[in-house]
Amino acid sequence: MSEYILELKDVVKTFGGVTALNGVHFQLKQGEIHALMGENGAGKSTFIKVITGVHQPDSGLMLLEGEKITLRSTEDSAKLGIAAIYQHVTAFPDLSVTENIFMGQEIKNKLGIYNWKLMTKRAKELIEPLSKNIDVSKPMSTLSVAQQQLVEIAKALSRDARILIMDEPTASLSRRECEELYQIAERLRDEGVSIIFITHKFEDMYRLATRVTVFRDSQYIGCWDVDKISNQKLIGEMVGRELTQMYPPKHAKIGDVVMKVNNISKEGYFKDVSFDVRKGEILALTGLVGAGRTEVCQNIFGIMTPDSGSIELEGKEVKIKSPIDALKLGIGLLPEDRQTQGLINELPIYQNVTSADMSKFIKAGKLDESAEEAKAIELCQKIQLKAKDISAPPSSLSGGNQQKVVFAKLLNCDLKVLILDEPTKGIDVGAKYSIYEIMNELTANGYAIIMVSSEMPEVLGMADRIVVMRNGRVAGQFDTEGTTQEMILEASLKQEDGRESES
Amino acid sequence: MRTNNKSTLSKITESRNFGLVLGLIVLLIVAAIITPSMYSLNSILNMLQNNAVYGLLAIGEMMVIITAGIDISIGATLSLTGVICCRLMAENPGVPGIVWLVLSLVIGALCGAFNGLLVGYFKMVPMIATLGTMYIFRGFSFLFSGGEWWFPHQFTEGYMAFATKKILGIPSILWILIIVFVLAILFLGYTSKGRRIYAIGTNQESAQVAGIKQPRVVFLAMTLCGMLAGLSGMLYTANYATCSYMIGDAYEMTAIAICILGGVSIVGGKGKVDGVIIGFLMMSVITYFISLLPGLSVWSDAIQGAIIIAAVALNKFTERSAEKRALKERSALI
Repeated sequence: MSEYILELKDVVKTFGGVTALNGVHFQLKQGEIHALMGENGAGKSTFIKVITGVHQPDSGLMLLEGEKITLRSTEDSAKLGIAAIYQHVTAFPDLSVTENIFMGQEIKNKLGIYNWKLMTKRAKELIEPLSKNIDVSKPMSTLSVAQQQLVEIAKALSRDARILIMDEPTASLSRRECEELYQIAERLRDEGVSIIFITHKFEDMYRLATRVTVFRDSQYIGCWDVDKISNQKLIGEMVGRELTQMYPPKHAKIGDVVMKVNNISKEGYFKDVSFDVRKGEILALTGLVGAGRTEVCQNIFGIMTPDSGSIELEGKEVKIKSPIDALKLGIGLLPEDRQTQGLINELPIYQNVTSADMSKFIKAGKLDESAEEAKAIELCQKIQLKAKDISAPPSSLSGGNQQKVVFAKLLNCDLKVLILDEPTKGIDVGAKYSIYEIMNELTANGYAIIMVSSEMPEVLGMADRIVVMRNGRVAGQFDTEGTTQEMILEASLKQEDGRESES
Repeated sequence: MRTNNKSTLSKITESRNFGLVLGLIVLLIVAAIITPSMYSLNSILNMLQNNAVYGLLAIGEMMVIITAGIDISIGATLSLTGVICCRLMAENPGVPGIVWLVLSLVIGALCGAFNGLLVGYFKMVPMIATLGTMYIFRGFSFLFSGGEWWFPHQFTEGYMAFATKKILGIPSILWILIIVFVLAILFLGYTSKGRRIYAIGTNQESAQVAGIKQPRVVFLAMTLCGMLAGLSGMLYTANYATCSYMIGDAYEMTAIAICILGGVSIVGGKGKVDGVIIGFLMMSVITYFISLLPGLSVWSDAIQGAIIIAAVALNKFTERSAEKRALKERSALI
């Protein structure tokens, strides 16, 4: 028998033209906890989906106890004892804990009538060793995230899982909950379950894992014994790359502070966030996904309103209660998802451009369509939109050009501050460059830009200053000059001391 | 299923049904003070007998709503089935009544299955699909009736017996309603087909991951809903011994209202038969009570509407406080 319970060799997975996994290797020993680490977008999620049979690899070998396996669906992997607990728990919120555990394998008699009594009893037996405080008759939605994860673990155990994949299970847990989860993971390991523990936290890795595998840019980088690799070296391996992309030169003059955010907090999302942004400056807001970056932007733009703290615009405190307020004050948002939040596909391109502020085209109560179109054409030229026909819907454009339409829309409103949430997400490299050019052009014209980005090279290549967020708080502010990827990554990962849940 | 760390009493007071039952009791007391005549066994049975079809419709509608859908064609299904059964019955008075009962179930199931095909397999928006079929069924009902009416002398004893014949002092239509309630509790609570209806309503994505075939479940729920609407058509005409294509107009709205009163979540996933039963009782009492009050009966619709709004407002309120609690818990982590 093989030394490894699960082994992957040279696995390749592409989606259309995008390579999500490029010849990755992975070896999981019987009864070990193996950490899998890497930046956002390194390929970890796709990797899990390949192991659980959600996606089928294009090429490569998968071996279970030395024997080649092919997984066509999640059912196949479940039969072989492979179970995954996803980061965003995939449960049925209105159904009871018992029912969630037994979904798809209910206990029933010959007539097909459920035996709730027995199921409840079995559910209790499964849950009790994991937690004493879960009432199995309660709906899933009444449980905390940590408890929901335990239910998912119970579900996996009820199916005799031998390989358990945990996708960032500690991402939204308090210290105490983490510790409880560690103990459960260790107990399962001692009982012979092999665990793949995907995490961003070094603490998790040191506490639990014996070995760590690192992915970067869809590639396998290496596998080390945890006690033989230093923190510094590991970060180096995770970041690894040089700034390969080219960034256009900047020619903006940085002026006075335009907007100042003072200690804003929003219950459940972020706490005491402060920063400022100057005329002609690009300020990057970075950190891990889920650190609260997007929510901060939504609070500045009035989609939500902060519970406390204040926002100053050109030295005056302003109250922003809605996006309309924000636009009136000169703050615009380029949303993260341009398809659903930025564009209206039922309208032609030129009407998308003018949609956010049509007041200037209204004369004597009537819409001056020729003025509207003329302005749209002017703006589209300004951003060098490549479109055959601006009366076609935006869906006829490539991703990069669609994003330009959203930019043009913002330019139509006379703004001072632009918030760009992941402006180059899902855009190919060539088109990215022209988006960067537009950004530099805007700052040269005196706009202040707040850019939310998860891409480290982009942050370092484009921003003048960098604010790193971690778990709802500002974890560090840097001037781009002299800052390295390692410094940012360290700030966004570092565990604060004395962070303890109040409850 | 009882909790281990909470007393039965606190469990009862926390449940949404508790509020409903309390409301029902208050309503009954007020009604008793104002219109004591309401409380004879006979008038109560009468009230329930005349409202029974709403109970049947509401159970079917509930299943569709739990899948995160809606069916507004059930009033038309009731009409179509009623007309077909009555016309055939009047033309063939020798045929035993049970035949018409079975026929009504078949016609209703076909109507429902057609809805289920459109919504489940062709992915049409439930509201739009059933709006279309509402007109289709109503149109067929008119065609088949030829604009005619049927009156008591045309109804056979065997036909009417399914609604009006008393067994142990209780009209058959109520026995049928009770049987449907019991079957619904069993089906929705204790069979995997029934539980799947909840699963696709609570989280479609998870249902897919769990390998639940959504079109099939929607088809089933809508077929059963249609079947109950068909049954209602036969029983309605048997109860009143009259029929025309105009019967059952806007009954789907009453059924939806009963569901909402009974705590069925309009966005799907949530709802229980016992809640719907209480909603049905409340609705029956309200309409009956109002009809007994001189001068107030013109307010009947308005009062029903106000009660629905109040019930939904209560729901929203409890949901919001639960949301706030969850955010607070998350805050502790920051």
